Amino acid sequence: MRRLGHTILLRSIPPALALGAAMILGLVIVAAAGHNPFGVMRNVVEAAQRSYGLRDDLAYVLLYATPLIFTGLSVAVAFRAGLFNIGGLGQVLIASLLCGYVGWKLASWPAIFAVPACITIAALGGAAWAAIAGALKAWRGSHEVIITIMLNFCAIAITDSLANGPWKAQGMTPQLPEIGACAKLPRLGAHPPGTEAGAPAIGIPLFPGHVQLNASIFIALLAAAGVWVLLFKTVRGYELRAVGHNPEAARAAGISVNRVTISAMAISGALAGLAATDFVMGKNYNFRQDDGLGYARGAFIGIAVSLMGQNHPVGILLAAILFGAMERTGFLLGDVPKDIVMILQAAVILFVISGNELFGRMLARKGVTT
Amino acid sequence: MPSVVFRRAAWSRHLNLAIEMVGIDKRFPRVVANSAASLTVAEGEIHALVGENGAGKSTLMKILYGLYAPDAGTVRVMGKEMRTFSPATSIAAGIGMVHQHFMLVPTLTVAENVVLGMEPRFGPWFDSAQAEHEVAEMSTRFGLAVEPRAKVESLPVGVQQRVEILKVLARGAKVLILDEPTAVLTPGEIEELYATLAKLKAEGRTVVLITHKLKEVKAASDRLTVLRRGATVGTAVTAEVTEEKIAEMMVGRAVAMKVDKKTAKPGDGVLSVKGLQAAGVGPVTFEVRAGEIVGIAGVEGNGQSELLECLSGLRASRIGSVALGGIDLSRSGPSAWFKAGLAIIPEDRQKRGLVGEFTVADNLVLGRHREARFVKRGFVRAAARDAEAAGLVKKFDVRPAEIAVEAQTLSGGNQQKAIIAREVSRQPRLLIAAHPTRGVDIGAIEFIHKAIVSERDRGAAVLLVSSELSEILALADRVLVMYAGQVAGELKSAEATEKKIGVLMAGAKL
Repeated sequence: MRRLGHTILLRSIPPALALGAAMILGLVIVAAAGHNPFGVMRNVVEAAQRSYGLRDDLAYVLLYATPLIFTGLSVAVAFRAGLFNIGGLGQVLIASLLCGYVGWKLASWPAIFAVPACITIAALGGAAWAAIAGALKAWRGSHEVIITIMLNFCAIAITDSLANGPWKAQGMTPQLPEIGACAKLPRLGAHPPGTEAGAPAIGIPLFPGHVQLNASIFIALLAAAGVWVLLFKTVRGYELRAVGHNPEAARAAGISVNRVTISAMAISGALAGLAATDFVMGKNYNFRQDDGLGYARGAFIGIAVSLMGQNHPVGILLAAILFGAMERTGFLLGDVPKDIVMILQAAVILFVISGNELFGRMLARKGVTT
Repeated sequence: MPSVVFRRAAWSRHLNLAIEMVGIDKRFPRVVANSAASLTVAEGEIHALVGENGAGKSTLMKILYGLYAPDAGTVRVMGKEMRTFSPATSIAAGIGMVHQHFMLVPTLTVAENVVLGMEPRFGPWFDSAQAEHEVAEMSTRFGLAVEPRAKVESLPVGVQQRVEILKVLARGAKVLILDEPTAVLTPGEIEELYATLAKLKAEGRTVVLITHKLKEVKAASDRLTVLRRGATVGTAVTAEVTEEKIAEMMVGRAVAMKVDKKTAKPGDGVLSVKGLQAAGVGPVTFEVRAGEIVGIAGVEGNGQSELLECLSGLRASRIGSVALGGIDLSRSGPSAWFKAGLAIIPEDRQKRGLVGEFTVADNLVLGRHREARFVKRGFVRAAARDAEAAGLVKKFDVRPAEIAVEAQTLSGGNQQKAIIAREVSRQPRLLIAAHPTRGVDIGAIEFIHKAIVSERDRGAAVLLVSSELSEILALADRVLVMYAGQVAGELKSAEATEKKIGVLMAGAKL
């Protein structure tokens, strides 16, 4: 246990330093843009306490964190197998489209069947889409980065044509009809007065009802636990990590590298696809092409979350909340350009990557292992 | 401890000292690499620096070459004390180093490689005629036969090494440090290297030979210095000590140089290879029977690696058949081979034998991790794994005896012991051991050889591939020599001599 604590401590140093460095850089940029950095900080703190107060902020942070947990886990599983899945966008889109379609078609089912069906189709859709890249890598040697990027464009084209074509709801917008009430995930907060009656809610007093934070966050937490068990407790996870660290040795030991590659991509895609439970079942209640594309773009931040979280489920949960908090800060900045948040996120990524490398070298020089 | 501390030979007092390193300490945060190490080399002698892996030879030489600064102690080169430590100052002081892994540009010619970084010019152009002339001149002067216009990639390894030596000489080196120079050479090339060293000595150059091979020490050096655990244990005139004595000084206890083994009692055929052909190997036909060790000798790169890949399912054979225990496995992958009873100590342990980032426990079940005792409904049985690992670590004396550390933190010898522990624990019908003692300490070599022999005595068929002739001669009951992808000859253990094998290795007929 002492070793474990030691490892966690060592592994959290680079992200913590990176965060600190990014904050300082952020303040410098704010100053360079002609604002008083400390004044801005004070304004943010004041703005955070306005209207609904910190409850509001907490709910928003968790809302923004939910898809980042899914996509962060997705990237991490692929990373652990030595694969770089940057096709989260496509996987989220395809999964959302299928989830929206099934939720719409199963409107007459009871919730106890409709909800699992929609969750399953979201996972399967993402899995199948990512497995294409895995299979091409395993059988044809195509690089997964190229393939997943290409598949992103394919996914945009497919969802676009279906949401504008055969599956289109009535009206001008490229979207599918609303999913059945049975397939909706409840919001965590209470119903805000005057909102549409179609949104179920759990009514936890802590969360304000106007925030779209919904039960998919529990699915995200379960997914994180599942990834931890998979990676560190199962034989499949052992094989996956072996392939990620040393594919040659894994192959020589009789592990089928091809099978691990395909299944790791499929699991990675399934995790990304589960983000549809948030987008379609918890927020939009249908698949809408333009919103969907905007939502799916967030998958790229999942790469940063995974890096920041050191490809570990616990780290990813923390990193997702951090990135959610940065996102929320963007809305509280007042007259300071919101772009500062993107700069901050980019800076964190750069500092984490270079920090990991430098810190790793420093430890290696000192003969310390993590 | 009864270890003899040898007094400096009287004659060396009358000679000028090329190198004098006294009381050298070098600490890294968790390791003491050198403590009170000393080395005295007289001008014009060939001095062997011997010691096990991790004894501090490389660190001491890196200090001399200026790559590290010592924490304490003084270094004198040609009587002048070194105050700053950098390769530039060392090179200026006349130190040159021939690395174990050559630093040559394969696509350039010999002459271009030798003058790289100090090219003769004709106006703004590279004067290749002048470079070739200079190199040819040096080549005759030092008796290092090379063709200046040949491309380095087309040269045999032994000649590439000569190019490396020329490169160092071209930079004015008076003291040449050679790091494990014979590791990649054929017996014939080794002889030529010895001749080169003698020639260098005759030309007044000083040579420091880093090695852990005792035969090499005896054959090539005038004097020797032994390091153990970072400190100098003793120094001696080579002619006055036996190999056993040197080994004892290196290890700190008496070492059995001969492997104790009874005559083989070969049983039924286990591995049968018939007309096997694949890229880089074949056609090859041979058989390994239960209870015998068949050694495959040969200079590296003559098809051994390819053959091993065919015999473990990593490479598909195009023509011919291979069968283990009567099961045809010509087109099967590694898992089928393991199921049929294979265990393999791979030739590259970093690449194929271990997952460095995994713990020792995880590595000790790698490949066996799907056996029923280690799995329960898809979950790893951590307790069973750890119990197995702890047992193996103890039985095979893997140090540190700690199963939760990452495998990459172990020394090479202990990594190798861990691999052998794992493979032997499969209770194989066929054990393939590829270079099982490469980079392994003398003490561990003895242990590994015993383990291999005991597998044979248990009734396993053993195929031993090694480029170390002494290992083949010590262990094999039958010797096959590979040359250019084929079996160039077969010798019974009784008739196998180093000379005969050497002839076959070089591609000649007996």
